[in-house]
Amino acid sequence: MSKRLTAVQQPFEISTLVRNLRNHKILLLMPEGENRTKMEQQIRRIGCRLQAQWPPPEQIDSVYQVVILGLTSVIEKDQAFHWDVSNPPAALVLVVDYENPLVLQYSLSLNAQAIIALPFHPMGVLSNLLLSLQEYKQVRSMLKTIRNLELKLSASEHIEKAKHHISQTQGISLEKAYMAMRKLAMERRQPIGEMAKEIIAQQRGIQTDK
Amino acid sequence: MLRASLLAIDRINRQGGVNGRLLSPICVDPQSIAENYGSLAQKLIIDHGVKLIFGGYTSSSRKAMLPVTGRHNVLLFYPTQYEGFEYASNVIYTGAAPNQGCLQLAQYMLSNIGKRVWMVGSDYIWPREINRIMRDLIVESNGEVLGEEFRPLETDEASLFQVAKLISEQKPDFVFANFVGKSIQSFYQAMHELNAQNPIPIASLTTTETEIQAMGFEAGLGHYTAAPYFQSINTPINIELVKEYRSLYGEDQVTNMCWEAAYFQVHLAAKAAELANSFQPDAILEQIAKVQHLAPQGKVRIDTANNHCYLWSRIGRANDKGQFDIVATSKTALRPDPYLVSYSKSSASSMQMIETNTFASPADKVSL
Repeated sequence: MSKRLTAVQQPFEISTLVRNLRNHKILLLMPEGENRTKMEQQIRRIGCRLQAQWPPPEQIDSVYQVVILGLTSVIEKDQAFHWDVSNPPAALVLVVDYENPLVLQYSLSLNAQAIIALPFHPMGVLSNLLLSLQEYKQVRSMLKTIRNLELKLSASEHIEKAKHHISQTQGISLEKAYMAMRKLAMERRQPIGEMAKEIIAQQRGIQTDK
Repeated sequence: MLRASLLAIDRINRQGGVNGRLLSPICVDPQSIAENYGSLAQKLIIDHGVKLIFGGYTSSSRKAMLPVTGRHNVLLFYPTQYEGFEYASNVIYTGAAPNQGCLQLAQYMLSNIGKRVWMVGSDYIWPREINRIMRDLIVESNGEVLGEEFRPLETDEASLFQVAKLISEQKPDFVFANFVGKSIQSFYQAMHELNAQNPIPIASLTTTETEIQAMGFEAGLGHYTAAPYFQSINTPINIELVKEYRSLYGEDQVTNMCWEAAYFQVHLAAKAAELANSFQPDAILEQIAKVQHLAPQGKVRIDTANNHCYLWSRIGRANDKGQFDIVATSKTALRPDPYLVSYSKSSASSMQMIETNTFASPADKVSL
C-alpha cells in the first residue's frame, strides 16, 4: 500500500499529528440536539477532549486547536460568530445540512478547512479533524515562514543601503564596509539588520540637520 | 463460527428460549465472498424479515453488510477481531480491538523474548494497521525492526518460503506474523523446516487452534498467540461447551477465539431481547448495556459508548498437542478502545498481565 501511495514530500509532521490526536482540544459550537449529541459521542470515542456550547462565544479561547461550528444554525438563528480569517485562532470545521450558494458563500468566507455534512455519520469525523488540523498547522507554519522572509528581506535592504553609505563616506570598498558593519554588530551583540537600520536613520538625521 | 452460534441458539432454546419464544436461525452461506455478504444480508432482511444478523469474518465482509443493515436498521453482531476505527450505531463488535490483544502481545514478547523483531503479514488493511502499532511499541522499547514484508492474500508457498528464508538468515529474537487464511500454515511450516534445530518464536494475533491443527502440531510448537479465548481455558463452562461441541461435530474438532465470540454474542443478544421483551434492534440496543454474560473466556459485556466488547486478554504458547498453554492473562476484562491511535506502554493501565507460567527463553537466544 505504502509503495503504491507515496507523497512527494511531507510538508508537516503527519505522523506526529496522528499520534498526538488525543492531545487536541475541540470546541463544539452547535445548538443542543440529536446531531450535537452524536457529534459529541463520536469525538469522545475518538478520544479528544471536548467542550460543547451554544451560542458561540465572543472570542475563541486559545486552548482549542479545532473549532467545529454548526454553520446552518448560525445562519438560521442569525447568531453572531466572530472569526478572524487573517489570523484564525484554531482550525475550523463546519457542520452543514445544506449546500446552497448562501451556505457555500459563508463557508468560503470563513476559510474553513473541512466540512461535515448532515445527517450525521460517524465515519468522516476523524478524517475531517485530521485534515483540518493539518491544513491549519501547515498554513500557520507557512505564514510564519513568510513573516520571517519578509523580515530578512527588509533587513537585507537596510544592510545594502548602510553598506553603500559607509563605503561612500569613508572611501572604502563595499566589501570592507560590510566587514566593518558586521564587526561592530558582533561587538554590540546586535542583529546586523537592526544596526543597519540605525545607521540609515542616523544618516537621515544628519541630512535633515544640515 | 456458524456452528458456535447454532450451539448457543440450541442451548437458549433448551432453556425455554427468550421469554418463551424459541429462536429460529436462518442460515445463508456467503462462501467468503465479500459482495455476497451484502446481497445475502439484504435477502435475509427482505425475504425473511430478519432483525438480527450474526456473522462476518473479514473486514470487507463487514463493510459489505454495513450499508444494508444501516438502511434497514437491522442489528449486526460481528464476532471477529479487526483493526478498529469504526462505530456504527447498529453494529455490536464482539471481537478484540487492537488495544485488547496487540498491545499485550507486544509487551509480553518485548520483555520476555527479545527486541530484534521481523514483521510479516498478508497485504491488507488489518496486518498493516497492526504492524504500525507494533512498530511504535518496538521503537518505544528500544527494540529494532529488522525487516517488514507483506504478501498478497492469495500467495503461493514458494513466496512464503522465500520470506521465511530471509528471516531465518537474520535470526531475529521473534517474528511478528499476521497472515490470514492458508498463508498461516505455509509460513509456519516453512519456518519449522528452516529452523528445526533453533526455532525462532513467532508471535501472532491470527494463529488459532484451527490453524495449528492444519499446519501440524510440530510446526506450531512454541509459538505465541494473543487472544481473548483459547480452547484450553480451564473454566467449567468452557469445559462443558467444548465437550458438547465435540460430541456434536466430532472429537477431532477444535474451538478458537472466533468460535467463542460467535457463541457468546448470541447469548448477549438473547439476554438483551429478554430484558426488552422484544427482538426489535432499537429495543435490544437500549437494553444491551445492562447485560453481561459468563462466556467461556470470563464475564463479558458491551461498552455502549462504542458498541465494542469488554474482553479478556491472554497470551498462549502452543504446546505439542496443538493447544495453547496460557502464559499470561489480563487481571480483568479490558475496556475496548477502538479509536486508540497511539500506543505506548502507558496506553492502558488496565492491561497489566498476570504471568501464569514462567518458562525459559528459547535456547537459540542464548547461543547467539
